Amino acid sequence: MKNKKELEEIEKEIKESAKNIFKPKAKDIQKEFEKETTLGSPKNLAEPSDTDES
Amino acid sequence: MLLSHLETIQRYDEARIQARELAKKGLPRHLQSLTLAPVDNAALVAFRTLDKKTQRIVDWDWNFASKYCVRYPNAFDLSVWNGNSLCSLSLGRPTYKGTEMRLDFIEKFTNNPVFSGDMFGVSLLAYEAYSKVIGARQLRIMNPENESLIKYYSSFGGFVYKKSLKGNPHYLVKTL
Repeated sequence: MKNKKELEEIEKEIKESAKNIFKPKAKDIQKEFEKETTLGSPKNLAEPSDTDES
Repeated sequence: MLLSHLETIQRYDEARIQARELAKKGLPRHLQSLTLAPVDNAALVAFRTLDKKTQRIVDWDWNFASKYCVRYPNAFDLSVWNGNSLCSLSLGRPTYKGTEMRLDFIEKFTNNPVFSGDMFGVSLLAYEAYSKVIGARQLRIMNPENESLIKYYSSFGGFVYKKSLKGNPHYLVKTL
């Protein structure tokens, strides 16, 4: 796992990423955001083998 | 359960805690009141209450979370709370090689509309933090269900859509 210095570096990167993630979205996109509730699929659990993943 | 498996779970517990803390620190000021926690017993109790009260688009039983986290000891589980109100649950895990992180399941609960538009961003930030803590270089959003979802997950920037190939699921991927 990461040491203190590495974690401090990640903290900076995450704060930078947050600026992009939480910047205002276009109105049509924001509307969709507030409407949708899910993503993904229970199918993700159906196949136990992930050995063919890159 | 093998001792080595248990040790792996405990080792990654530290990474999970670190990732939630890092994400919390990175949240903008208006979201600082949110709590980032595991999908623990408290989250499952809250989910069961919501499951009975609210209309949901999917009928996932989040009780599978504990099995998922045992099966994948390096998985990342996240519950997002506003006070005592459960806002979101999500589960993900690294790929076999550990170089990519998958966001497999996420559900936002509509009982708490205050931060509704920000809820995915909160989870995304936490998954990015966990990816970085464990050394994964990419984050994948698995099986986005429709074009609208693909469009607005892409709106966060950096995501590229990958079609389903050789029986593997389609996903959005972001290089971290």
